[in-house]
Amino acid sequence: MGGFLRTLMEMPDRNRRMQELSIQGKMVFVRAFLSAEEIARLSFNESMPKYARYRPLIRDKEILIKAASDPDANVTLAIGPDREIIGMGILQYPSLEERWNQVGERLVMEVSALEVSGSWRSLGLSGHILRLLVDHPLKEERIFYMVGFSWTWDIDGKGTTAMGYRNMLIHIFSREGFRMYQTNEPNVMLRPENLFMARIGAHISEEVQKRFKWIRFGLEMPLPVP
Amino acid sequence: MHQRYPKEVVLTDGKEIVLRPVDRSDTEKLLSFYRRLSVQDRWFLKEDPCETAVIQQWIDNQESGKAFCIVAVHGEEIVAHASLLWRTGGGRKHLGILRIMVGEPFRNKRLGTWMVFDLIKRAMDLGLRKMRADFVVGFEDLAIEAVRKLHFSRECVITDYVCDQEGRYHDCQIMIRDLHEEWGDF
Repeated sequence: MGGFLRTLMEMPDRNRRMQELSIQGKMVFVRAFLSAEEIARLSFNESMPKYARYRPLIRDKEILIKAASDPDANVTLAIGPDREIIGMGILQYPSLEERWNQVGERLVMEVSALEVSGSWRSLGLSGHILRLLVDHPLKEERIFYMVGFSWTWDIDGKGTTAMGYRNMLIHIFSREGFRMYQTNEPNVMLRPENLFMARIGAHISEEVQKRFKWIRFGLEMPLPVP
Repeated sequence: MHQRYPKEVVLTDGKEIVLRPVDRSDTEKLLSFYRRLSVQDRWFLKEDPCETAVIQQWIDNQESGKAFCIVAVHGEEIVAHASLLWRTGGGRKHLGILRIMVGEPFRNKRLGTWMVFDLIKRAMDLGLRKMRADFVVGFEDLAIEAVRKLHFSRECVITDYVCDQEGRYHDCQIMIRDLHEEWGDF
């Protein structure tokens, strides 16, 4: 194990969760809450997209570094041999124009990325990344959500159908407490296989849950009768 | 797939609805739903759902794997009913037939859209390749417009195909939606 990875493992911060895996005889570390500085010292696995229809969502390390600069955000990476990033997950607050901000200030966070490099797929890595990604100290005080758009899925690479890919995502996210919800969010509505799932923290009040429900359908909650 | 229900939807007027599969205990509530509809709404149906035997046959079809039906529930009442029917063999086994009936107070509030959208997903999960829905022109124009927005397209119109209560003939419009296994619409 290299000195850098040993340093990562020895980080004392309670949020610095880490998992050590042996995948196909190679040591892989899945590490949560990486700082911008730590990400800067890693490199991207440059496995070229094999399938014409698929392009990775994130091809630029700067996006990871920017996400990690928010103190609540969780950038979880799978790090393979030679300090290569072979998988990534980002949990962060949605951008300002997103409707989910209407639920409440810094109340809703999005799993905005969950991706594994081509040669490391179908080995269960995404499940490990997701587990550490949502194992967040604020998880019971927040609503986490994910959107799945079929045009971003590597359906060819996975050798499945859109519904097969969708069912795989449902399986992975359900294990972490996410449930499917209906929404009229226009991009989700574009295709029937698109997906919206959320995990509602145990300490989220009934009122906030209700507001989240109405906002899923683009409605404002009626004011309470005085 | 049943464990993915119930599904909550909020209509454009703020009414909160639960979508869930039909089960045998729904017989009386379904009868009540269809009996509340106007004669005109029921006139063009292929069977009379005000008869217990018809409802029970529909539920039998679901239990024997030839159909999947969902209901929309508001409070304790069924306010809409939608079915996806298919054949288990032969030259039409790739085809799903869509039927939907929404109670008058719940029309034009996107309830039908949510139910059709749900059955499209179900049809895709079942591996069906096409969905078909038939509508009576002039009577079911709202439904035609709703499914058109969900990428059903007009396949053909059969002129003077059905007859109303006064003996006037009306066109039947057949709408088809292709169900792609892969994303290919973009």
